[in-house]
Amino acid sequence: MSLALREDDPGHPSRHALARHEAGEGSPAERAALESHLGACPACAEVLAGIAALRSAFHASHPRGDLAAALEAREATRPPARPLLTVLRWPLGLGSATAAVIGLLLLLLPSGQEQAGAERVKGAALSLGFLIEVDGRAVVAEPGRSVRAGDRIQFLLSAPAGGFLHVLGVDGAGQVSVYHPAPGVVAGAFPGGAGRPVPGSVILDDTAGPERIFALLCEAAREPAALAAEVRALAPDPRVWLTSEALPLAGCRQATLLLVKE
Amino acid sequence: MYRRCWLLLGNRADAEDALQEVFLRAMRAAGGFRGESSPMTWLYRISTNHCLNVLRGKRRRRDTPPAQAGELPAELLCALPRAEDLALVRELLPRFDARTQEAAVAYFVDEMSLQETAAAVGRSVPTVRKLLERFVVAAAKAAERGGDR
Repeated sequence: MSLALREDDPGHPSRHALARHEAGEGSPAERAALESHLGACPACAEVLAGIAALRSAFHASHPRGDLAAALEAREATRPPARPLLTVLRWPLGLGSATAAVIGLLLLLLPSGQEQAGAERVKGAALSLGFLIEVDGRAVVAEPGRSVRAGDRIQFLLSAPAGGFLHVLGVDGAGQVSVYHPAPGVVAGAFPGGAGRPVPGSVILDDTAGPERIFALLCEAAREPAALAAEVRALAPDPRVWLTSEALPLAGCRQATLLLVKE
Repeated sequence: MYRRCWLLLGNRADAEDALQEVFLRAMRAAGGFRGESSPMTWLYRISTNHCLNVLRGKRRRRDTPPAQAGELPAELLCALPRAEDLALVRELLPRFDARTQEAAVAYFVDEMSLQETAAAVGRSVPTVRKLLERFVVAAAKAAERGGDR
């Protein structure tokens, strides 16, 4: 067996660095420095040539049109919103019963406690939680569960009455993102009930640290880009909402949850 | 992406399926890509997450025997980590915590440097070195047990 650590060689780029270069990534300065090195290093140039050959072989064996067709066919077999529950093939007939169990769990979880991963707003009628994909199964995230970039989650909302649902997040970099509805789509009516999955799942991005998620159940539907702009305009620095339990938006009932990404 | 799915999952069928799944997820999540990392890094994260989930599922089901070197397409044989090393990596990954898994995939599969691996997993180089050393020790023990059979 030859699995072992090797010391970094500052004189030569790693295979990964060469792969990034071949993919067109890197700043202009990085690319210029690497090109200069490749001109003087036959060994690295050979590795780069191998990577390029790999790409050519892949395109030859996987024509772009065929791959696109395969993706379209795969996409067509799924419901548009692709919630975790459907994708993870929970048995038919248990769907509504399962959702009721989830809703019961969420309602039974302690309220009014600030915990990373799952937070309940004190005294609020709405409650927000999420499912997370673990080993191919959807599980209800327990209080305090941290998440990672690349994790796939689906929000769950318990509300005594329905409204027009919007889900957005404010992260540690001050970015405001609207998770529901999709861009360009105006929010549809979301029914009240226990532990209802918000359509669509989210793949978490690379931004580490906290992200405050707000579920807004509003009297009127709002367009996502306009809503994000409205939230950004509420304060000079949107990060102030990381420690807030509600956004100062009229006409919306709210629930909030704190995600902490490792 | 195809190469790393193959290296992580060990056979053509799983790699093809994973490749499609990763791109489909990326297409659906594209609206949430905010450009803080490079597109390659973003796709790598999605594929690592998916492939690790598949590996954990395979370990539970104990199906799909590992690919033999002869099954690998010719273009993947160039400049590859050794097949038996990859098989060990695949076997060991599910036993470790998420941080070590990420580091091991970055270092042994993507062939990042220690510095690049540390940046990818958000830890210092000494910390990553310790994570990888634990992984290598476990690999050596697993290899010994395999040699004793």
